[in-house]
Amino acid sequence: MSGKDGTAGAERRQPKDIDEIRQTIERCVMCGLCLANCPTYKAILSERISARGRAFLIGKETLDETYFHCTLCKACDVMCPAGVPLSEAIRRMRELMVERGLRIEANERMIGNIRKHGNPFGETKKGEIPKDLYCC
Amino acid sequence: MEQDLKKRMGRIVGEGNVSDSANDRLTFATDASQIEGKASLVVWPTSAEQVHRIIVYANRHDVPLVLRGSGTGLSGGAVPDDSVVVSFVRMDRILRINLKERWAEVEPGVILDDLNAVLRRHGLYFPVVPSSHEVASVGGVISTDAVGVRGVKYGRASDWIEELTVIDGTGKPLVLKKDRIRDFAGSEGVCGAIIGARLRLAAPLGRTTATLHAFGTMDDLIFEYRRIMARQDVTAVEFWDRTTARLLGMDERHYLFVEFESDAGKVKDASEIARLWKRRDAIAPTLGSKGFTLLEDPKVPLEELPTLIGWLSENGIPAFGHIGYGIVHPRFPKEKKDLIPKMFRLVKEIGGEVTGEHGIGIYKKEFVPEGTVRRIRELKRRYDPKGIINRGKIV
Repeated sequence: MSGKDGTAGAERRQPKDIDEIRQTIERCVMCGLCLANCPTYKAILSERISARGRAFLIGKETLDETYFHCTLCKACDVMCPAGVPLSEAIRRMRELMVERGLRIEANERMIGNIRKHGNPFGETKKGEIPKDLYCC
Repeated sequence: MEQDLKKRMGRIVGEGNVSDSANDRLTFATDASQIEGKASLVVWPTSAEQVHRIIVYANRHDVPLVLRGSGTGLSGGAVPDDSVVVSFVRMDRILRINLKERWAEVEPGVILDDLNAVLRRHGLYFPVVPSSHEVASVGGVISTDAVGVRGVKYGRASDWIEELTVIDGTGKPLVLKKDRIRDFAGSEGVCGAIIGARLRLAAPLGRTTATLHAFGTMDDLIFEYRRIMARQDVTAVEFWDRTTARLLGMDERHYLFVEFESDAGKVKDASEIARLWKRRDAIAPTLGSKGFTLLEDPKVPLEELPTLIGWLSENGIPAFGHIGYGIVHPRFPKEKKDLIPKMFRLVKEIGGEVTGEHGIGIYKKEFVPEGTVRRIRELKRRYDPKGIINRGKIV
């Protein structure tokens, strides 16, 4: 698997109770209305880095750094016509990954950035978008 | 081969605008139709020149491309079949606005609400507003020739296009005007890529009033609808059936919502009208949250509307829609998915079309009328004889 997803080969490892998280997004119909409010989608303009993309990847039981790109702002929850609590599902995916020791490249980079720079984004200069857009 | 393709596409669009990562390909292999295909690569062009080079390359090397806007299509129009997905979301610039002549030139990835937010400052707007306006892109709206909630006044997207700039399936740049606009508007991207559009703009609506009618039967509703449509001041006319009303917590009757650009409506207070619109707009989300998540868009002759609504009611399926265009939006729960092809058959029997505005894509291919098949084949021969673009869509 490509390192670009930040998954470092861990993509298909499945924690036992991921089914429970999948159930919370069962009503997602992929309509895409959440894209309108998702700040990470607005910044990157890529499906993977979007609320809908995350819901789809959770449904596929797939690990990805995109769960850590999410700002947990809940804008997707507000927009969702089916009332899917997506931000909660994403938060639980993060927890699950940490609990199960399923560290991906994103975790390593965040930990390194916090140790070195005191924040998960790495060295940031005024007016520049941080290179690592992770949120813990 | 795919590494080589990625490198070549990267040379065209830049390294940051191409991806072969497993999860990018996975998330671009589906859209709001929930049909899943297979994407071999994802490319995000940022200019017309790049789109041109991508299509020329694809032609020379027989690389199938699938074009994609915001991925809100409900018929699988953007679902790839082992193809390169060309996403237009990063071509999202409003290029020019001419206030005097009332037009705007835009790239295909511009989001409708973003466009209208800019136009509002100038006292103008693009009036074809489907219910997905928060996220729908101009390219997608044109490709499906969408109808908005004010379709009775403003018509379809193609009625508001002065000029389309496209790259056809052979890689030839074209500027289309008048009748030729409809070769691309409504043909779901099978002819080539829309890279720019000059859109006519309208002045915002003046003061409006509204009336919400309730009826015991669909026949009574249609009688009132015909009476209202003899008027010249109707700007929107929407309906929802008694099953929908019950699920919304309203009296179990059929409802007709009419908006007038005059004093003719019973509700004259602006905030009260806004409340009625809110109720109309809440139908889809409310049904969705109650498990009615699968949305369809058949179009039927007005006199057959009671037949379709009757069949849907018998099966417990709520429906609402743009009665002015004969477009009905039934919403099915996932567990009753099997009823959808049965509904398509009924729609054909009563002289309707299986899609009024969402398009055919791959999902409704087997229900496409023969005339549409002939027309699309002719367009493919003219604009994309090698079948590079949106392979397997519609026909």
